[in-house]
Amino acid sequence: MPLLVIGVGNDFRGDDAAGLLAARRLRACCGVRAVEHTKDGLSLMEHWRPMDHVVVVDALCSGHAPGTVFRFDATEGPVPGDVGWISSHSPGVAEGIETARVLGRLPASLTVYGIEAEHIDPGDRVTPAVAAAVEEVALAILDETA
Amino acid sequence: MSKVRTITVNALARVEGEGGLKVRVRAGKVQEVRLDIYEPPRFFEAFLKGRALGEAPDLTARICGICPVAYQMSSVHAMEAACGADPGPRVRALRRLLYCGEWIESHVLHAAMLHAPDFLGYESALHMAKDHPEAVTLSLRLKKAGNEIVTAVGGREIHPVNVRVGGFWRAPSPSELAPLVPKLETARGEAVALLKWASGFTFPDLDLHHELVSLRHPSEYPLNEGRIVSSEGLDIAASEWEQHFEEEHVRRSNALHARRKGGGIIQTGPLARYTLNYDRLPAAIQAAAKEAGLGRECRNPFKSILVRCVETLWAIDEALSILRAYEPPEPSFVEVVPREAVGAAATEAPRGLLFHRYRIGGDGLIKEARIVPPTAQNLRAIEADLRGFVQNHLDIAEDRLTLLCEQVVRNHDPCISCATHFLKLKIDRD
Repeated sequence: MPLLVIGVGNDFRGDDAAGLLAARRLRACCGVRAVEHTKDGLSLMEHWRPMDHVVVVDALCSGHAPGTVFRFDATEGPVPGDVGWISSHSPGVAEGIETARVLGRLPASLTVYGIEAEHIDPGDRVTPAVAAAVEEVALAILDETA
Repeated sequence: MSKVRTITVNALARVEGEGGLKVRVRAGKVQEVRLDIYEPPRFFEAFLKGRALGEAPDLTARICGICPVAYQMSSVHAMEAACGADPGPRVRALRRLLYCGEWIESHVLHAAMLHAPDFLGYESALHMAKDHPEAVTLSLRLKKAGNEIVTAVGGREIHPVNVRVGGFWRAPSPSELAPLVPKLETARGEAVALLKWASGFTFPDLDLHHELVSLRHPSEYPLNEGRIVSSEGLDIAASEWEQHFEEEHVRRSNALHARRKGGGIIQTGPLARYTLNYDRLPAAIQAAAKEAGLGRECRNPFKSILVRCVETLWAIDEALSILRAYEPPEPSFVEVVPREAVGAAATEAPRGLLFHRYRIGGDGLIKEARIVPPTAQNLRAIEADLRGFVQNHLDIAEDRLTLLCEQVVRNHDPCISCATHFLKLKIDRD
């Protein structure tokens, strides 16, 4: 199965790096095809091909406890845009994925993991609960695609 | 109806950065237009002090995620002017290619994804995509072509890492750049289609006469060098910018407002470049502009979307011409020997003139830095446009007027993140 992990985020804003860290982790440990996406959500669809099984990982700020993991099946239905996805480049992940849906450009399957962030100011460090959630998401991706 | 009408947009969408807008109308007269910029100040000029001159391109690139190349270009040109270095024609050509990539990427993002929904009445590109899938798909491909130039020359899409004072860390080989040619040939057709699509929009009437300011080159459409000229006859070297323009702090704004000394409102960006340099556009681009309904001048900011599309087409042709003649600079950079000096440069960022000046010590460290982004130069023009537009359209219903006011701001493709180095709207009327 052509698995593609897309880690979305910003290395310079603490927990907003969560998606990037998950992509790096999966690439390093298990040779998973994983890309790091630091641009606007509309260009997400440039990464995948129609047959790909895609997992997108991004940070969000919804008010839950730091490190809380959310999972959305974008193949089944729309990804909610109002749960606090972090984007310094509007439009963000949800808008990018929904635009791809409208254009008929969704891949074979598309799952989105959101990791609740705590510190996202420039220069912040990744909080331990978020680092642990990155591991949890990486394992879950391996598990569900095994 | 009450005596006072207030139009408020607390956070302007589809602009880069954070700001708000308030218009106050009393007894049928626009009393106040306020562009509140609350994105925090960023102090780049202060923390550049004491850094090595070679760090300027990478540090200043961080001012903007949309136009980092512009910051890199103005900074390297200023440093080379200070130190008396000339990297030669091959480095010049490669820099222009990189800059064309940024123009394509930035212009298509704004024209198709941020500005076009205004004309067609959609909340966002996503909403527009349902009814205009072909245009959105085509624009995404076109934008990608720009990204690919930046990646190939600059090393990555955002905040490229290959630019240095004196040239490039590594010059890409001809075989590395060759795949760009067929992609840009396809992109050219897409840019023509985008211009045709935008030329079918309805443009509100607004004819403004701010002093237009842009670079002007003896033979080329302005990009990375030239004299600074204006529609009022100004013609100065880039290093003379501070003698003719000034910035002032405005209480409501974390961005400085620039103006012509003596008080005149200035405007930089696509309309200024086009109107002041129409004669520098190749015949094929002039013909495309004419077909889209543009004359030799364009002073209606709503039509800036057309000029951006024309400039995208120009940038694709320029990039193709550079690529077809490409020979890598060898070595890829010239050594720049620091000396105690002041160097200034201006280049044309997608949003307009970007001025940098540095004072360098004999130790190669930056003693003083001055950066004037295009949005800071356009803030007064944006406020004046709003004042004029609201005054002439007071009969329009609140919701519609608020939307149009936002559009008046977006006409300028403001980059608030750059200017604080902006948006929310409030119209207060009776």
